Amino acid sequence: MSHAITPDSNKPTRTENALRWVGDLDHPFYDDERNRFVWYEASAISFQFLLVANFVSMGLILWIGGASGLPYALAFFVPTVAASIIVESSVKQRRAMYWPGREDFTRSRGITAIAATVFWLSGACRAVLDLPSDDGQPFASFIGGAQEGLFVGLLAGPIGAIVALTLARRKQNRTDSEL
Amino acid sequence: MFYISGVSIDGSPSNNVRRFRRIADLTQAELAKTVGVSRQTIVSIEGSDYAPSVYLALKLASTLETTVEELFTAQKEPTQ
Repeated sequence: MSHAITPDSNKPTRTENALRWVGDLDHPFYDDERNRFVWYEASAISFQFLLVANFVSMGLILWIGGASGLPYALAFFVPTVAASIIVESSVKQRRAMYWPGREDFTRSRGITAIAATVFWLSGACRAVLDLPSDDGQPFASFIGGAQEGLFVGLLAGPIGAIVALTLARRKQNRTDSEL
Repeated sequence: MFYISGVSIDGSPSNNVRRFRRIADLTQAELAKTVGVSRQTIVSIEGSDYAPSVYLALKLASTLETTVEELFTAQKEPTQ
């Protein structure tokens, strides 16, 4: 029996097939629905744990290592973002996207996620300010050049993400209301 | 307030799968093989630790020659 990641459509797309391959969803073990349910739930817990653990790790690397820790933090950042994109694209395709509301940020789980995010973002700010500028002085004493771009990017990234999320949420709501 | 017996959270067996399996003279392993799941899944269903999908409930009912309603009856929540 093949349990579909996209039960709404008969023929899975290439992306869906790729996602199934990544998740190993066609493994015979998952033919047992309880096995599937339990393992998917455990995987969700594991993913959420990795998300917070990676943020904290990035924060530690950046706060301890400063500018020299940036490449190492990047090694955590890229897979974390990639995994988040895979999760979002997968649930979007299945029309189960969840957009966090205000109440989500007042729960202990939400506060933990925010604290981890603030920790690594503040570490990133510190690391960028610690970068040597063209004249060898720390960036904090020289706002300009390529480092300024980095700093602006660091600020623009989260703002851009919030704007993109808001637009995507509105688009999804419009699409849903048209169904 | 009603709840489905298969999802009661107090852990007490509240469905009739075990009773009908014994009537059908099947072991948990035999029933599991017939409906295409692991024995552990049958154990969990009988112990009300896991509520099966509609499709699995239908398979169980068919194998045990009964109905889904007989296996998983909606019960009234006991008053405190």
